[in-house]
Amino acid sequence: MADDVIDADELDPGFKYEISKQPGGENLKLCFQCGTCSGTCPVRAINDKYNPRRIIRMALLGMRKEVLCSDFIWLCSTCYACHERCPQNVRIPELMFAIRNIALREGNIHPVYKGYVDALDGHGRLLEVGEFENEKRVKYGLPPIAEEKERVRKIFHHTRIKDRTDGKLKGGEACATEGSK
Amino acid sequence: MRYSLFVGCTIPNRFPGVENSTRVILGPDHLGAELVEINEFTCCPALPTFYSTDRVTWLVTAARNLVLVQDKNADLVTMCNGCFSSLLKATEELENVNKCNFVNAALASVGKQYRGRLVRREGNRSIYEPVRVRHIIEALYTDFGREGIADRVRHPLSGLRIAVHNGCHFLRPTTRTSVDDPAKPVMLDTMVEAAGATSVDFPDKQACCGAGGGIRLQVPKLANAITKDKYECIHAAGTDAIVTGCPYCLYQFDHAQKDLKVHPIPVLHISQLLALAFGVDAEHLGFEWHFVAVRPFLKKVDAVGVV
Amino acid sequence: MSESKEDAAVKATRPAEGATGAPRIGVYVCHCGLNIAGSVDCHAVAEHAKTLPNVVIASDNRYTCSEPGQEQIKKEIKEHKLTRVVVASCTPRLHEPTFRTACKDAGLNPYLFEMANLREHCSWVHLHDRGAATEKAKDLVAMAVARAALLEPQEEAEVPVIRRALVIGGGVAGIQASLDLAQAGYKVFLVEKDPSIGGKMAQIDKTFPTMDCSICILAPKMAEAGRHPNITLLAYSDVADVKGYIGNFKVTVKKHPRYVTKDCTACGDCAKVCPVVVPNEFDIGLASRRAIYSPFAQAVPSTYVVDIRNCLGMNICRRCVEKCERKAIDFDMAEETLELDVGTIIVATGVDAFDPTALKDYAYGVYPNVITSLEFERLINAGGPSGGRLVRPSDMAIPKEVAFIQCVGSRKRVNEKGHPYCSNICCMNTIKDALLIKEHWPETKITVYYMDIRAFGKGFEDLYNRAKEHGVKFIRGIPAEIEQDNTTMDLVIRSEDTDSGKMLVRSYGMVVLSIGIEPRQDNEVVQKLLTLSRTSDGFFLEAHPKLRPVDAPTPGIFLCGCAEGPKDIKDSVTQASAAAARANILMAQGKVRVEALTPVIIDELCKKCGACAKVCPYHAIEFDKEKKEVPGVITAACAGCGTCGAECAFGAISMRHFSDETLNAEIDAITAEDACRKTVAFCCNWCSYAGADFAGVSRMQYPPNIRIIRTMCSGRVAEKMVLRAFQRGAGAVLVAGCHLQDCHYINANYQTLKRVERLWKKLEQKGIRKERLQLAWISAAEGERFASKVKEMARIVDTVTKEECDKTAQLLSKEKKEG
Repeated sequence: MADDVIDADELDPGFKYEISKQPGGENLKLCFQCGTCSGTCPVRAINDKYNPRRIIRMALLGMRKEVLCSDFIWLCSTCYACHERCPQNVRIPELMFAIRNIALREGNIHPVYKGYVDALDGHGRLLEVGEFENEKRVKYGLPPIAEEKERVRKIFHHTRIKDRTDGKLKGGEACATEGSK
Repeated sequence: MRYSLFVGCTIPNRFPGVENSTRVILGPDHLGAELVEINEFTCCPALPTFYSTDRVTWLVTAARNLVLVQDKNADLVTMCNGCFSSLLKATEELENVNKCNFVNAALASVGKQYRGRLVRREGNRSIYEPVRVRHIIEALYTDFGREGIADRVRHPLSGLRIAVHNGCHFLRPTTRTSVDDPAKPVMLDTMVEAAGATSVDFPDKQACCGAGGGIRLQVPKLANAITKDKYECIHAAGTDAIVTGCPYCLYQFDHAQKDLKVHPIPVLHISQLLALAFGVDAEHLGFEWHFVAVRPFLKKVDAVGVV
Repeated sequence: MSESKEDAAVKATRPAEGATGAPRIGVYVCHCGLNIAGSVDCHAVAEHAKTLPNVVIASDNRYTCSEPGQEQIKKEIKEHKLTRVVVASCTPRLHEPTFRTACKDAGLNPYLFEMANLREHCSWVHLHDRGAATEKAKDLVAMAVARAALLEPQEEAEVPVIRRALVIGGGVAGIQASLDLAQAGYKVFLVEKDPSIGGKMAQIDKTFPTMDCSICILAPKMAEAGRHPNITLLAYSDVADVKGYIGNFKVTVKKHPRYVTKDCTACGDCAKVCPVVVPNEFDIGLASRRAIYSPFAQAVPSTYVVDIRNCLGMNICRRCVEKCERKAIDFDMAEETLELDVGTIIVATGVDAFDPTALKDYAYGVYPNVITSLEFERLINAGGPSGGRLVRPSDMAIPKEVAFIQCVGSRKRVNEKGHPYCSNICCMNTIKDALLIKEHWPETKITVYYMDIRAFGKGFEDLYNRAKEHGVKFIRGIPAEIEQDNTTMDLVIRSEDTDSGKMLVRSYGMVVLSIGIEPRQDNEVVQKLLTLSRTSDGFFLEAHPKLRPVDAPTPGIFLCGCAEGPKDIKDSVTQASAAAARANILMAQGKVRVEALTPVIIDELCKKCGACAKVCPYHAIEFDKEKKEVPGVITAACAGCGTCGAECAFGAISMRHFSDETLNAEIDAITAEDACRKTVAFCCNWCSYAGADFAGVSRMQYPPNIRIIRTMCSGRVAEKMVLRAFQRGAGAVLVAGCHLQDCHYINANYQTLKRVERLWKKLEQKGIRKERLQLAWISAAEGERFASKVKEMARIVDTVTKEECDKTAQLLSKEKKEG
């Protein structure tokens, strides 16, 4: 990445305004790149591919494709340490969610999230609590748990979340090659 | 104290011992809180999944859980940081009338309406306040306190060195209702000390375990690498067990130690630790579900002697 | 339209038009080259003007402000015996003084002159609709003519100025201002709340960029200020009250007792025997002093002082009294109250340093080796607690590695972390500090963690380069937290070097937090005493940021030094001399003219309720609640906002030059025809009118249906004026003023807010759509905002039908008859 030259013609100056309109992304433009967030981020400490300050810089510059089609926006652990320390109140984990929402619209979603939504749709929970689990619960003297998958499914149907995660949303060009890890 | 225990997903599937511990310590033999059973709860739902995909679905699903509690005159008590964060945030968002109306339109599809809990009547007006969402750590600290817990301790864990891990979503972000001081939290440490143990100080005590935000599922190696940093600080401080208030952090510490092949330090949930201190038999506490064997710690507990 | 009781009463007080009877108005419509003529048919406007009542002559010409243009006006005043002149050209904010002077030269009172703004408010903003622009221009001229007919000749009052000055604050700015004025021959009272003058500069070790010893260059000035025959130094004193107005301030000063007389020779024997030991404020708690003490070696006055709160008292201990050979200690001293009469006041109250204790991540106050930059100054100063050795508090060793963290408490949008502004001096201060360390201990490894290095002044960049040449490392990246190694007490900083994107982990013996400076806690007290304004950051506001940087908005008061905003010593001294020069102008003349915009109270109508006195931002109206007499106006203190005039419910206040009649005449002129399609706007001279001018200068286009009436302040706009506009069929009304914290007349616009809110309630009650009345806060720089507002109002007017306007008019007329 360090050797790449940024082609100014490919920059999209409207990208930051697009992010600012997403809930959570309102304070993107306040960032003045002080580096407090990247200095405290536990993920960045291990893997410098996830560098919140750099992601924000790329977004502000308008490197739309690089930001939306890359996997690093999915790596925020939501520990909120940067959120507490940012002097400009950029609210970085919320910002990451906002960028993910836009990426999702373009058809880029990490398969894990799709899996989660499918699991909820299937079991009403992230992890199945079916007969097997309930038997164990009874052994412990714990009351059984009802599987509320019907109710959850009705809500999902109403809000049409699966249209998003199944990539059925209209508009936007899907990320060409990479997608996600 | 009327509590409705919210069990979430990770506990019933992976650590039912945590749920059992909580029930026992809150039960009639020990702290004597009144538990209101609701078994139609679903996933809280997990914030990172839904904030990445669709916020509306998140709010509606969370609201549905809150509706189940709203008329029961009880506090919703979670045993998981993630559930706590998600449901608490939902109560705050639902204070916005427009959002609330929108959510209720969606909830109508499952025959529910969120109003909040009824606090009083003024003439023919009903006054509602948001459903109270609490974390078990805060509930124990505020409603029982150090003395209340210490009173019930039959088997003080004297001399045992515990590394306290609050986790991230119990303390942060402080822009939502803040429960404990994020820079210098005291609640969990106090509970551990009330049980007679020593809460060990170590660097980076408030650091993340590494599992959250979907990292564990996307890039487990990355999650483990983050855990390793924290593990090393804990290990260097000389620790007998790690205690946390979140089953996902528990899961992460548990699994990572196996993957990293380091000297294992047992990991417990605060409910399990308190249950041990209250004198509950370890076989009820579900330790066989843990990856890192808890037996060495139990031996140390036994060695302390009974009151 | 029937005349109300108020109108009749005001008319009765107006002097008769003289022998000539009706006013004789001359109208001059300017082409301004093509600036106006390009979009307005000036000839048609001039022809139309001829048809207006009282106009005896009207013409159009190319450049009215030019010599020939002005000559023409002067000639015609004499030839046609004109008693009023209207020039329809550019904004009055540009050329009103020019034309007023021309009138004066021709023997016509300058207050009988009026302008119509055909350029910034018409031709430049309606470039593409000649027809509509010309119609609007005709309207604007009609407004100006109607107003001119009702203008009265005014004389400007002259107020004497006392030739003595008060300087509040004895830091370097206060000292400089005092010396300048004293040397110019004026008597100066220098009031300082601490026992010694010197301020923050006395605490600093060296100054940038020259690396001069700070106290060495300050002490001679302090000494001079202490002994100058024209300066009365009142140290250990507070300003308790200020009354009066420009040229005539009555100041009450409370002098706290030192309990030590002038016989003190500062020998120090008393301090040696005093048993009480407390932290020394001058050394920021790093060293101690006794209960009887001198703040620092070079203190002026040098007389010792007793810290009576910590002193054990005469009943328990008398050691100092017994030890003093000069018998200079007197516990019977009492507080003195002094009444001073001064003509000008200079505010030089300085700043406080930011306290980083609340920033838990930096653990100041917890980790012993984390210190602030001010503490650093004391440690490295040869006269300081460690004799100039930079030692770590934990073990008194000299650190081998030192880190500086910049912007602590500055440039932070999150309130808990500090202030949003840049503190100006911290970058250079750190560079200077780094060089100081290198001077003494060249092997020390120094790292500066920064966001931006601001080395903007003379010699600053050179000093920055020198630091880099000496091996000081500058890392662009602010650390999130500081960690401590509990065995070595060293500090570990983890930060990203944003330039390379790599993490940097380093251990330091000492970390210096480069703290910002903040307004003093007691600025609010000073603000209230002197009727000053403060910015949202808490510093005192100057009258105009570019053209009047040391004048306070309150006449006769000047600001200098850090009280006005963060700055270094050079800029403080510069401002101090500037403030002294400005004060000199006033005092040299011995008198000052007051613009004739002040109120006249009509005794017969005054109900002695005191409402006017309550709303005056300058306390320029004296009203005694007990005595219940007609209030008196202190003309010199009045700034002419007109808020009192608008507040009076009984029509007992007539504002000079901006009387109710003149403003009503403008409203009537606008609403004479097609009222329902127009927006009547009231704009204040300093902000919203200027903002509209700016929109014009920037050629922002907006719909032509708006007509602006200028008032000095939005506080001049009375509720009955807005109702009058609606009652005469106006489609919509806009009231615009300065932003709430920035009112040119301190806080008059809060009255505007109250009045508009009352009007909204009233409109709602009557079933009139309240969105037809809009309130906007628009500053002089917000041309865009003004243009958007006009567009918004035009959209609203589009939804108003003739029937609705008529109905509104009816509803309000009915009330007028009943009320």
